[in-house]
Amino acid sequence: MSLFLYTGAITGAAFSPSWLLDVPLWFVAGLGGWGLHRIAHDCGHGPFSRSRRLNTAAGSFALLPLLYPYLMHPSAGDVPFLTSQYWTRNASRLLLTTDYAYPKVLLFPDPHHLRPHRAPRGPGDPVLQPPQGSARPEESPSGNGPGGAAEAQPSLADSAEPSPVRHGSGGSPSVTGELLGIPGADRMALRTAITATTTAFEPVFDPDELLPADAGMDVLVDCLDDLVRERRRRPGDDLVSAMVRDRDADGALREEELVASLVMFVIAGVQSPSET
Amino acid sequence: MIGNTVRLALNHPAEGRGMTADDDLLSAFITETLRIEPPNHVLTRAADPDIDFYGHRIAAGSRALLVLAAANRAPRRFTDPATFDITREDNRPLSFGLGPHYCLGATSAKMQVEIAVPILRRRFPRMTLTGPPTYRDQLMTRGFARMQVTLSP
Repeated sequence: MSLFLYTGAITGAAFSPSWLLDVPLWFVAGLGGWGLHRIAHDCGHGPFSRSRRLNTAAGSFALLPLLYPYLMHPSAGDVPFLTSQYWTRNASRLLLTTDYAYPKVLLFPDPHHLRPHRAPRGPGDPVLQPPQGSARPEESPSGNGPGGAAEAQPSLADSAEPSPVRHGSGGSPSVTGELLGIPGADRMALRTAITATTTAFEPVFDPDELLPADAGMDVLVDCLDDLVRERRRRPGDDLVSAMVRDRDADGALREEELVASLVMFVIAGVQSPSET
Repeated sequence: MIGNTVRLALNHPAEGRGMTADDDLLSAFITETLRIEPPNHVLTRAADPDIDFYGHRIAAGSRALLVLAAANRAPRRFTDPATFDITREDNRPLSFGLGPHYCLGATSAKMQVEIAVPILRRRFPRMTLTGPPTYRDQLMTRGFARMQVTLSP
């Protein structure tokens, strides 16, 4: 359409019998040219298509009539735009494996925690001791010592027929979904997307290998983006509601950082317990 | 974790039966499963200062792949490391990491296994593996592509 407007108007202007006709024709040509530029722009930045080859072909073609070379934006594919429609190539890998979301965003806003921690200097080094509060139940002393806090964590294996598994054989998507407040109907649908994103942890030799992971990430970001807005309107007794409340109260996280954190929780919460 | 625990319970029937009756055995079983079959095999970290790590120099700023699965089988830490043994003393695998970045969901993950696996074993006490399971073609996260079982032979 843009190409037709652009070339048609220029051709018309070239053969027009009167300069009065040239004025609207050049205006139309400008519109068409702007459209072509817009297409090439989207190709260069990534959102036109997930395929680098298609972006290059369409971008080059769109710029051909404008007599301008097509150059892919240097950051295309390297910078995740956290609005899902601009969620670009390799976003899955960046979100999962760099400081963009983890661990900076999620857990430790204190810059001290961004620093790598020193390596242990030997088997007895204090750095090798488990952190406070994360001791696993079987490691805690059996008496009433300081480790009692860990023992206070409910061991659901104690109950004869535990009730928390309420959603049939869904297993982990149900448990993590319940904790986060993901509506029941959405949970199993997320499973495929979650599995797809795990490719982003792996070594890949061709960036196109990440396309399914990026597509999966789109699904998760859309879902959790919606969920954050929904829980802001109607809070519930779940982790997403609590995190939205805290984010809105202190502003420590940006909105997209909150969504990135929740995406990470969903992937880690479902993938490791259930699929391995 | 659930898949690995079920697979090991079927391969080690005596311990597998014991876990449904005894919470301590169940916990020990899951910990040993985590040691020998960690869900995530690798973590990435960067060195802050220069580090001398058991005689190997790691320069500040270097990025390192930490193979948790190998650490969990380190002979100087675990006796007879390739053997699945739920009676190990002081069994503390690195599967959930360590230090301030210790996995936030570790307790939740273990609780899920503590709940799910005994329910499955009680429901299908005669379940057996049909054949060796196949694994997904992944290095970092290691899980089954397919694990076929016979529920009641």
